[in-house]
Amino acid sequence: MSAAIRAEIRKILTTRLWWALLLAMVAAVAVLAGSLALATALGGQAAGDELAVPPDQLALTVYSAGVTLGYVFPVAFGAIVVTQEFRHRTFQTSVLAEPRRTRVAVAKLVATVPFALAYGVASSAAALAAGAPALALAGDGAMLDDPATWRTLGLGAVAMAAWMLVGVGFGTLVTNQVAVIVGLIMWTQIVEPLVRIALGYWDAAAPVARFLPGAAGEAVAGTSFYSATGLSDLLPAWAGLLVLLGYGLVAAAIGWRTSFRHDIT
Amino acid sequence: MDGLRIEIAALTKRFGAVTAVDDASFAAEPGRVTGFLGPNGAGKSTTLRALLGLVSPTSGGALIGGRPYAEVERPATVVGAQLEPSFHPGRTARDHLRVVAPLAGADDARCDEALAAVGMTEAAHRRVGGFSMGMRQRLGLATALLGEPSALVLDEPANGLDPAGITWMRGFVRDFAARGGTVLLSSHLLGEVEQTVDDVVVIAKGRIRHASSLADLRALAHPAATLRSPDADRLAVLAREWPGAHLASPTELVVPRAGAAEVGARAFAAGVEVHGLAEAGETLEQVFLRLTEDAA
Repeated sequence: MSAAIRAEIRKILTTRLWWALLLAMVAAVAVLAGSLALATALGGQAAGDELAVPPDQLALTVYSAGVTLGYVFPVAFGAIVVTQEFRHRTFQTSVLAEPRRTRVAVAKLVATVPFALAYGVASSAAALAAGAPALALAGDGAMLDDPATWRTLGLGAVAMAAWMLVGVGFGTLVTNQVAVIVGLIMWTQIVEPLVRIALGYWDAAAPVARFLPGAAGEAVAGTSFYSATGLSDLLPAWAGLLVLLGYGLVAAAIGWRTSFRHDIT
Repeated sequence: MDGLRIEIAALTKRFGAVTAVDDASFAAEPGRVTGFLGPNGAGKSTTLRALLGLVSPTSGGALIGGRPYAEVERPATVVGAQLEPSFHPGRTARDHLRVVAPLAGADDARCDEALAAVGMTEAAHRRVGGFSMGMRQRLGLATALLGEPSALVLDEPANGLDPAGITWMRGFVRDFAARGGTVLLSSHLLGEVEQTVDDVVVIAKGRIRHASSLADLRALAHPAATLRSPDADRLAVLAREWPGAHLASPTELVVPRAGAAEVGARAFAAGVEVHGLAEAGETLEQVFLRLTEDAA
């Protein structure tokens, strides 16, 4: 099993994707965190006190920018780790070297974990590095002495890591690279936000929104742009993590039973 | 090298309503090169993929050294497989091997050795995306060799190789078998592998049409002879009296299923003046075509 995991780690390290997407994510999260801090603080001041977000709430929203908006990077990376094997037909080489395909699937999931954690840490570091000076500049302070800040940054990293495993799961389920990337981006960037806003206006269905993957991810970090604006409630952090990992593992399990078993012709 | 016998046993594979391989049985013996021949779409690749555990048989199966591929521990150290070349274009040649290496029990030095064995040391640090088909074939072979296997399964290994490359591949495969290795290689062209293989298995429309040594396949060639004579009258009589014989022109007689000696003797007895006498039997390629076309 350890040989299979080493093979999978080498697969990731020998292509440029892992650091290219990591850099793109860091840049995107930094820009989001910085502009969110400045825009909300300045916008709040301009609009008057009644519309301003409380400073501690704002800080947490800024520090969780990765989980709210930047998670598309780890989720795409996780999916591509699996689908590139089908796109370039290298899956047959993998299965020739390890015919027990279940081991191939598990090795992929395990090999992704260190990269998931690295993406998580990098995302929180980017949110902190860009968000703290911007918050300080905007006048309400960076809230660096507030334990809630560090809790959000730490759990935000965990949520980003979990998102990568969700990507691996969906890549295993839908092995067509274009289909899974388009599907994941459509869902995370367009469909789920709209569904959450819609459900937010319908009391009976509102609790359902907490179980959507994006909401579960935000629950891990404990705050989000949506909850800060009062649009939806979140699950407890532990429950959010379980729900998010659940999506990934269920998708991976279905993929393991279907696409990983197909004849390779 | 340990001799490993490759055995295909009553293998059938259906894709939906299409029967790609129909009850195929044959073997590839250690120390010999077995050519697996058939036209495109005959079921060669499907058979090899079933042998390698990539395709699950509808019934029957395949054994390598007595075991199915999936039950071979560290299969890359037992059987080297080269299928249609498929690599991540962004990986270098050496990194491609390093990715497979942990499961082939190979270290980095062995990766360099395998590259050297196929003459690719120079290209080790180049990305595969820029490789020609011939280089991809070589890299595929290096991958197959990585675990120092005692059997090789090669699907159309000569595809995309230039004449020099084909000569090199031929020498490589012959040498591997000479050291006791088992080689099973497929091709749609008999001529391409005629000088490489010891044994021949012919498949067409999913069914095995023939399996023998190359010499035995040669013996299947129908003999024929041609006789040229300026004496058109006597030649015409000979053509009429010899069942099956016909005149290609007034001065040329073609006699199927007979050798030059027999035709010469009859001509002599009939007093025909002979200007030319030649064997005109089937070539090996024609035998191969006949075997694949007999498929009814």
